[in-house]
Amino acid sequence: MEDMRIYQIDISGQVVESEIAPFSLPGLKINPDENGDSIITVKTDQSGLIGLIRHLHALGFELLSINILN
Amino acid sequence: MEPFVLTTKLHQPSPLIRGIHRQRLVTRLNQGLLAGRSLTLVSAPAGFGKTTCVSEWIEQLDLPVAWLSLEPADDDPARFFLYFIAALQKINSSLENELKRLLEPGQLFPTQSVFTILLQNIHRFEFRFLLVLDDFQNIQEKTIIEFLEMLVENSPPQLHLVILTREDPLIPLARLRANNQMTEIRAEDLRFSNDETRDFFSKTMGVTLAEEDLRMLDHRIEGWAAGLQLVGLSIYGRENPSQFISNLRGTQRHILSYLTEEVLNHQSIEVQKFLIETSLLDKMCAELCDAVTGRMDSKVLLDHLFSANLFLVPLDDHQQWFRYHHLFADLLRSQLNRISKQRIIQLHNNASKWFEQEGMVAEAIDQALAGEDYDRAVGLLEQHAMSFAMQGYVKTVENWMLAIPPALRSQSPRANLAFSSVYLMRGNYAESAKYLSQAEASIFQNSSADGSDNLELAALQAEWYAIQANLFNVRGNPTESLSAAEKSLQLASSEQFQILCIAYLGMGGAYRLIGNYQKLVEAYQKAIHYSRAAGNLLAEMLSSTALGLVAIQLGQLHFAYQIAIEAVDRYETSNMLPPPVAGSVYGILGLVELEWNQLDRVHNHFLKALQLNSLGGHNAGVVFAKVLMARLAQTQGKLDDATKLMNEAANLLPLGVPAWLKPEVISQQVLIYLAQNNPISAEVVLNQVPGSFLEPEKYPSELIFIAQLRVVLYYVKNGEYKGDLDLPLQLADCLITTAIQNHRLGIALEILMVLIQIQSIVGRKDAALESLSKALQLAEHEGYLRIFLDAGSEIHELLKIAQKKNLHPEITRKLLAAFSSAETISTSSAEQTGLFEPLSDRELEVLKLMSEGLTNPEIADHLIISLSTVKTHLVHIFNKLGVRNRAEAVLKAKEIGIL
Repeated sequence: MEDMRIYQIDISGQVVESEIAPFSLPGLKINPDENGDSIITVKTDQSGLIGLIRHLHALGFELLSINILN
Repeated sequence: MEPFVLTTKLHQPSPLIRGIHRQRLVTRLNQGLLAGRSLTLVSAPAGFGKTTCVSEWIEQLDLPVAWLSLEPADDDPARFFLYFIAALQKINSSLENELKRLLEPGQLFPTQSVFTILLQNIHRFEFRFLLVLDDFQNIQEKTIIEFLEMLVENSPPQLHLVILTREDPLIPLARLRANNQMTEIRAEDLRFSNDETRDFFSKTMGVTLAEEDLRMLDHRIEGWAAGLQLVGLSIYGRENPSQFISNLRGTQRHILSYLTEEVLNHQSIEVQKFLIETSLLDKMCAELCDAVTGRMDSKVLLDHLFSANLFLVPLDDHQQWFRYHHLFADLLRSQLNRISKQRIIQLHNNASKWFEQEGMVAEAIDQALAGEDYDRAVGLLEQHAMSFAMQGYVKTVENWMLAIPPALRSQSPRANLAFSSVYLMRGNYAESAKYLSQAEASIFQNSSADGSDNLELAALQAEWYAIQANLFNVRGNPTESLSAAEKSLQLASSEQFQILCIAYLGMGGAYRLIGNYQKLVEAYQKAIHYSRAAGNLLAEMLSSTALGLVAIQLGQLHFAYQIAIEAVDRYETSNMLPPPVAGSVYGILGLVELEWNQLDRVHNHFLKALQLNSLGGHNAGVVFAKVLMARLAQTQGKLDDATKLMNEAANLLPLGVPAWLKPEVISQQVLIYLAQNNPISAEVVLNQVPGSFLEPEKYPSELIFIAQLRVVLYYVKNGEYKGDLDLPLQLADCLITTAIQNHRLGIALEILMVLIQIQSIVGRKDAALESLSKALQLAEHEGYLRIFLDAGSEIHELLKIAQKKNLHPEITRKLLAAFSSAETISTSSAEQTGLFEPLSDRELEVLKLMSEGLTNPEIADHLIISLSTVKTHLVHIFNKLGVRNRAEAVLKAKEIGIL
């Protein structure tokens, strides 16, 4: 069983790395897409993912989608 | 009464799955501890064995452990900090007295001060310890998260924090991770390896599995602790475990409910029923289970479940209290549909009654609400809401209130009155008024022919009017307030001390606004009397503060001092939690000492006032203390500090303060602006209040008049005064005469001081000298010094003339001496006390006895305190003075002049 997966989280609006990277496992990346939204790529497990989503929610970001990359 | 059961929350669990050793995890955790890391984070979904792993680890450690299991209801700062402090006290009992103060948070949660004090206390631990926060995913409240963030940032070397959570906490941990300051155990680490699974089945469950079965199990369950345990329970005694294992399919959740069902069906019908029915209890003991289910054999059943490893988690060392493992409880609750709704409600109500009987009121209310027995919940709240809220659990009580349907809520006058009263005492007037109006309808419309009910109703009305009287004062409406207070006194019987003290408190406030000083003193003295009879320490502190402040205005410094000393004594010897405004009586002490020019003591007392009032979260109390600190800062020439404090005070005004306090704030603001050569801002502040020299009858307070007169003085001093001087001077004369006639000497003196300066500057030297002579006469008896010193050079010059003319020679000589040393006294004392955290009165006593050569036991005897308390005081003294031993402490104390 592989607990750690690479997740791609799409968020409405611009996310600043310093706002969320301290709350996540290392290696988190943020890329803007053509619509001005943000794509977060992070390698983490279930509890890390849930914690990160809760943090994004607390910051007021709208969650658009979550996908597993590998 | 301690409202929440502590012991079960703080129980350090023994490993849930007994007999399993996960050496690789223990080794990793130990390495982290040895490397001096400050945090261990165990983050994984439910059922991964987080608690078991950590409890196995700490069982073999030789360190004190504070364990705190968190529930959703603990996501309330008051409750969280109560448990947090209780957990620390469990391993270090000497913390108790100091930290109790933190347990009294109010509507204005003083986050920063609580953080600082907690951190200071952790830094004082003389040993390394572990603090385990289990089920941390239940905490989302910002205040609590911020506190832990600060704890992690500061990482006191004594503390190793362990967080167990189902999801990564909202604490920024990247820096700790990057600096290798944190041990992290995650889902992949917690999964059982093949070897561990084999060990677990053979050693713990007593089942030997074939290698192929093990591989299959590993494939299906993926080393998930809860799943493995359920498989163990399911295949125990089964003929063909291989088949059972190969039949396990689907998602984790699916397997889990399948296995739980299996395990349940393995049990007798009786046991199944017991498990499901008791699943609605968050914690259980045999007696409670008997009461809830109506059985007589719960003890036997619980023992059976425990020894069969059926997910029963002990909550204490004696195996009296248990809970079900969270996952198991969830699944049991999902089976509750097997029984009727009626039965469920009955179970809740049985539980509620049992908890009430046992004095566990919070649980009784929770269960009554869960069972939708709102009458019962309201009844319990009526009895206990006041006491809960007075102890700081305002949020908890409010949540209970909100769970009751609105129609029922407003029908409960007593609960509403209790709330209104709690908020009044805490200085949250808007909330108080809200609950008071909710109570109104039922109190004044219900009438009953029954005589006893009428008495009951009269008491409710009396209480309603008593609170109303206080609220009218806040709105600056003394006439209405008086009439409400009088109605309350008519309705209340002579034994209803609680109501009487609040009514007299309101009456005193009204007379204070009207300016009837004789009646005011009478009312407040009665308020103090009845507060004591009722055991209402908070009302006693409020009345004492008010009376003390008025006594200062009356120029009765000794009387004010005596009232404050008595109040301080009552507060310090009471074993109750300190009431929110307790700090203000220290403020009175300081104010009198300021007038007596004992600046070194003033600083300590004002600081204590600010600390206690901030901790108490009483808005008016905080504003008052900040005004006091600003006054001292200005006296010491620290204008920037004074300005900052006054800005902070002014920002708190919109939260609601009683009417008497606003003039105090404005008056101090004006003083500071004038000292900064900014008369325009002073006038802007003064324009907020009605009244001018032309309409003196409209003055809300003489303090405002004095402030305006100071503005006049400022312009006169700078040769910029343009208007007619006679008008303000005549009015000042007039007010002085009235004040003296009414024995309000403090006010008379303040006006005189300004008047003398104006007279002197405009060349009316004879009039000035005459006024000075009057002031000296008024001041002599009560020992006033500071008010002359603050008035500065004009007074200084006049005093020299007064000395030549032999006017009031004694006080004149004292004042001249004080003038010549004023500069040095104020600066040096500021430095002395500014460098160190001030010693408490008790610590000063201990220090003094120590300097006289008394041993610790002798000091303990002398002060009638325990030896360990003496030692605690010593540790604090050493810390505050920055010394290591008694000799150094005495030396240092003498050096800085506190001995």
